Amino acid sequence: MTPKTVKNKIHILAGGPAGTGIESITHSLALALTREGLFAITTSEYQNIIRGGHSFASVHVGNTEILSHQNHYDLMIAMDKNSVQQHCTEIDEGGAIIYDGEKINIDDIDIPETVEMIHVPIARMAKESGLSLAANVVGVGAVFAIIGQSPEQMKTVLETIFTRKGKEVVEINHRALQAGYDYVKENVTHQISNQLKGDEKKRFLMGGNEAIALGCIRSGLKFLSAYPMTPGSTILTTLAKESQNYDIVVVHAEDEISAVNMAIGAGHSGIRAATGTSGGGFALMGEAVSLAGQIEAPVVIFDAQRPGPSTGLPTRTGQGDLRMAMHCGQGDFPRLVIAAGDHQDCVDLTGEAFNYAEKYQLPVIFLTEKYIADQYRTCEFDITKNINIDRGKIAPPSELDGNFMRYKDTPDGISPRSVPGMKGGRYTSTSYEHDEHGKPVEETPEVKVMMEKRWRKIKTLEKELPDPKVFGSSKNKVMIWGGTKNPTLEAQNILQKKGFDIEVIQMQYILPFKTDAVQEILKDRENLIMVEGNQSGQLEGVLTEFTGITPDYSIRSYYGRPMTGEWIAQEIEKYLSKL
Amino acid sequence: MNTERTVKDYSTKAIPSWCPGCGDFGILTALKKALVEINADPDETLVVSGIGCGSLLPYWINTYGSCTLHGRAIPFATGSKIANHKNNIIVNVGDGDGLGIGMGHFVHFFRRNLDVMVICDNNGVYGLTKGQTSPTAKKGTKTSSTPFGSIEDYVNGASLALQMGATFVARAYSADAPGLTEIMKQAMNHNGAAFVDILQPCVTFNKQETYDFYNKNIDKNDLTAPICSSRSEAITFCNTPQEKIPTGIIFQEELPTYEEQVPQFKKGPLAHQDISQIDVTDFMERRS
Ligand SMILES: Cc1ncc(C[n+]2csc(CCOP(=O)(O)OP(=O)(O)O)c2C)c(N)n1
Ligand code: SF4
Ligand SMILES: [Mg+2]
Repeated sequence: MTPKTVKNKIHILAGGPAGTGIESITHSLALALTREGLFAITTSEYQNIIRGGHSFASVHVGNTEILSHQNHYDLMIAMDKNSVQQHCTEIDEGGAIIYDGEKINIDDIDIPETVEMIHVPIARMAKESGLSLAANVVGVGAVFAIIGQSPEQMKTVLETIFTRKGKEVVEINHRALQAGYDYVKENVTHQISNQLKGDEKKRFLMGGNEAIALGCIRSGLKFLSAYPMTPGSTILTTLAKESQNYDIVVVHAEDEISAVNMAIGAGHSGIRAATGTSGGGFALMGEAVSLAGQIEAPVVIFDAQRPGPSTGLPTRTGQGDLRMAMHCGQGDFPRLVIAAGDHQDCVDLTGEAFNYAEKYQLPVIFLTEKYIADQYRTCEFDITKNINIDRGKIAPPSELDGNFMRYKDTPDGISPRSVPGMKGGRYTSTSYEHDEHGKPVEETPEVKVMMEKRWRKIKTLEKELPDPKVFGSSKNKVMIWGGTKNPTLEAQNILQKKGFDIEVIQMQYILPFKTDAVQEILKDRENLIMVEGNQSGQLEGVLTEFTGITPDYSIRSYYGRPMTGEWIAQEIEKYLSKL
Repeated sequence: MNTERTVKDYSTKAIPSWCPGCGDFGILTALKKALVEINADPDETLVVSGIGCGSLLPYWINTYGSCTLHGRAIPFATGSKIANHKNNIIVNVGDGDGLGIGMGHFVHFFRRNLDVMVICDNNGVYGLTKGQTSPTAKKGTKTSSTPFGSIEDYVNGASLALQMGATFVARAYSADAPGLTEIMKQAMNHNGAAFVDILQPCVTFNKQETYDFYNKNIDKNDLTAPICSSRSEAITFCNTPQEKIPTGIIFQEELPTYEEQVPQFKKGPLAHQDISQIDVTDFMERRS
């Protein structure tokens, strides 16, 4: 079999039962290659179990930023027979599968002839290195040899990972890595040649929830209360780990209702506060979201979406919570709904989320999804610049006379705040309707004043919010939100090579809806295509509701697996070529 | 401004809307007096309540106040205390509020031992929603929601708070002004999570536990020392049926508070910490 020549990208898959270190294979590869100055992204698909079953994870590496993963690969490490069976047809012509021929009998598997099977005595070599558990590291060594990269950076990664377990563990892992590498060098001729060459620039490898944590830390978050729920849990665990480094108090609350009410109490009392969860936990928070709207307390709620309904697919991805984010909670009140498209958004928009929450004194719902939350990506954040921190209107001491008008009716709807502890600023906030002092009221004129004061904030906010992001320019418009961003940009590249041009419109801020801006962007359209990760077309409905515009074609995925750029391109091509 | 304060400093012009004779009046009066006695700064005091008759109290006390959601006063107050742990925070829950819908928060709150006083207006009914059976009502209670008598046994808030680690637990009677004031004063002076179960006659909906009933059936204990000297003794004491209902300080102990165990507070209240420049180099280095 002629070895496959790949240009400047390589796609590697690792598969095996849960608990065999599948994700650490792709993560460590991504980190080593990031240190080399290359760009990587990872994806992982695992079942909702701790041991056994079938998990797989992929790493996609290139000389420039990788936009999308794909579902076919150049190389695979199979840690069990099942992985060979399930994925051998996903290996491109000339690609290879690394497997342990001393453990796995592949005779009865119908493997395409175009795939090279590379036996590496993984288990034996791990044992000889001193630790059976280091099997995945032997596999990684073999990968480096096959793709023609030096294993030196990988050694530094193993040091990073294992130093806290002692020098001996590091040495064992180094031996395991070298053994896998040397075995391939000595016994295998098949190479996957490529032109991967790092520029040695310093970059960072970060998960989506870590990027949110970074955004929180940089924004001056002081309090996070949360209850674990996949895929939102790593916001809690990342910030818990950092809490003493950055003076953030993190509480693992008794439930999500408590988590969100704690965050609201903290935000109300003058610190930046947030909670993080997934759809099921967020569903419990509705009443409190409405409370934050009513008492005008700043709070940021992160919902890392997974597919529902109900417990749904805990470890898979989806975009089914948009309508809940827009409508949860009783009554009408201002809120901001943000959807992050990638890691950069997770950092930048988190910063904005806290500014808007405090400036407009309202709940901000920040949507991500498993695809972003769990994905590691090589990032180039500039952390030297200080970010803009806007704490909003705080009442000056001169206005705090012991008879403070906390909910003063103002032209922009925003009333200066005091917080408990401020001299002369005392007032009582209440979930009941109230007057400008916070005193409960029920009479029409007073109720009207307060309802309209709050509503005015939406108009003020809508004006301040940035317009949707537009990539490229074409009469074929494709509107997306959330983690479909990069795969759709990849689709844009693929389609361009085939002679189709598309313009990609990313909705980062969904509520308040920028009606005028969206109408303006869509004015010259010939086709409008929506790409969404839900069944009912949630953003599509929102678009029609606010603009009267109905799309010409809808692409929807609601099976829990992330959309690839190739798939989106194919679907768009199907439509455009029929015209 | 450390001059002597008087009850007037904590009073509002507005008059409470409770039914004439409601036990909540006694709670409000005693709370104001207790605040005078500990010389609490109204601007550094926050009274957080849920929703219910008694939970309207923050409207009528001239400190910071928050009437939150039914059952959620405790988590809201927890967040607020963490934001500024120098503030004196009082949580006012109803028996339905704190021990029905909010019980999950009630029990976990005492595990944390935040320096916050929780008072419960225990009237055996859901006053604000017109008198349905509350979780503290005795088995067999007949109200509009249990017209044939309740089948569920009742919840004993004091016992529950003790089980969960409350470091100050007391029971008081809303009509015993000096006793209630003294108990609240001690509860606020206590360094840690305090619970005060307040027997509060609802003159409109509770026809069993009336002033008459309590005046005859309360066993007032001396307030100079706790009734029980150990937690297990206190739990047994609360769970053992007594001829009369004991009021007084049931148990008190000093344990490290939540605030004392969180190093993040060492630089002062979080609300006062500067967030304009945060160096994340360290966080990034660990990811490169
Ligand atoms: C989520 C929710 N459920 C129900 C209610 C209605 N509600 C208001 S007060 C109350 C019960 C109040 O009883 P309690 O807490 O004992 O206070 P009391 O009125 O007796 O002082 C209920 C059920 C509500 N406000 N919110
Ligand atoms: S209904 Fe009962 S608890 Fe409510 S105000 Fe009237 S007397 Fe008090
Ligand atoms: Mg009650």
